[in-house]
Amino acid sequence: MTFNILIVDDSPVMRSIVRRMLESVHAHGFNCQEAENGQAALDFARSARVDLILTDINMPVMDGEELLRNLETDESLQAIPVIVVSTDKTEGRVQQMMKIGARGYVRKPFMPETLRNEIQRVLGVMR
Amino acid sequence: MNASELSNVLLLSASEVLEGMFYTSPLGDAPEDAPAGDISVALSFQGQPPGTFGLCTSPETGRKLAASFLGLDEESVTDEKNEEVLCELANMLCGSALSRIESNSIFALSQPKKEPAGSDRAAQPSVSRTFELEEGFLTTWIATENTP
Amino acid sequence: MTNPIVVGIGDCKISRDPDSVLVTYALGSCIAIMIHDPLVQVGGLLHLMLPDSGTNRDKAQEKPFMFADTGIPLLFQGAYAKGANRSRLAVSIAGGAQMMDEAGVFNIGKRNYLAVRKILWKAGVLVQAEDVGGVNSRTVHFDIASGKVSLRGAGTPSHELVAAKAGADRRN
Repeated sequence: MTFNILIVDDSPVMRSIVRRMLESVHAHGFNCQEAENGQAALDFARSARVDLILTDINMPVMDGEELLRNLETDESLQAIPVIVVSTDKTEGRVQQMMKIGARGYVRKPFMPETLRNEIQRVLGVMR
Repeated sequence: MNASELSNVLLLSASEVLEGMFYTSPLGDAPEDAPAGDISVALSFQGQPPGTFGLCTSPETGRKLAASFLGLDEESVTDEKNEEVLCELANMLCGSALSRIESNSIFALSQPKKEPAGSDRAAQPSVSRTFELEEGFLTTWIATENTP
Repeated sequence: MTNPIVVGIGDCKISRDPDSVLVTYALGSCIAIMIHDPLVQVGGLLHLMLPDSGTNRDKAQEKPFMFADTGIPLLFQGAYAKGANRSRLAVSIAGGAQMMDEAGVFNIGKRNYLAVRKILWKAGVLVQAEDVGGVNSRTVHFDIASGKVSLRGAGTPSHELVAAKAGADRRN
């Protein structure tokens, strides 16, 4: 089974790191797409199948918080699980993002295995 | 938080981020006469407290760190990638530092930007620390509105 | 009958004998990397001592398994040569402790660990399980049939780092 994963981050190097990590997981096919902010992510999700969104918080145009709120209010998109991947590790922020619908939270810096495990947990797949 | 506590926060955040995604670790504080780097990256943060955060290093050290982060050979790291990685490094260091300063507040971080050479941040009091790494020297600094 | 194969310090052994167990003793700041392909039952264990051969090229020629940068590629190549497939490999890491006799110098165990991590990341290899750092020595038993990795610390009971693949471990 192949999962379509949308990586949302304004930093191109961060997107390429996450892509590389996912491509190193051989157990499942992860098909990666990228978006540079929340708006681009929403546009993409409305046009193609997305099984999981990994999103940063601080981004121009539309940040991760607004992306989550938009996904939650869109019936066709609200089922897509979202994992927040952020440098913001304050408890206040983590709780806020989980409250508005995030299913997982990965704090930067993270090891590839941490990201893989969180994705497998949220998608309900095991190695 | 006083200056010595902030200085310790800079060490803890550097250790966490460098060990976590750059596969290196601060060996200790740099000697007084360590060369100052000439690439600077800075960002501001809003929250309690608000302030600015930045780093400074040499292009050579930046390139080595970028290669480790990206999993590439140094030769494959372009100047553009080098700069992007340093911006991401500043972002992560700042996030790590803020969670140690105030873990219940919510911070909004601006996009890290490369600062023009010779830009003067001396107008604002800040706490700074230069670390010796296997790859060279890395300076990080933080200025909060209530920095002593 | 199990056939123990002892891997010395700065050495590496690859086995495809399902009756064998690779054993390495008293990892202090050293690191052991175990790789296992459950389908063809091939396993390799590298016991490295230092992060980087750059300072000691002659030694690296003579004993490449002493160093992370020269040893790790040989470990993988050795397993591929015996039929292991990269996409099936389970990789685990143990060791990298900070030993008492190193007080005052930079923690070599941590440097070893960071070097290993850096090399694996560059190669796009993810780690299934690790037990690293701390201050205790570790002994590794690695069962080639099942891929099970057990660790024993000084004065502590043994624990599993990597579980046996279902149905493969005949000694349980």
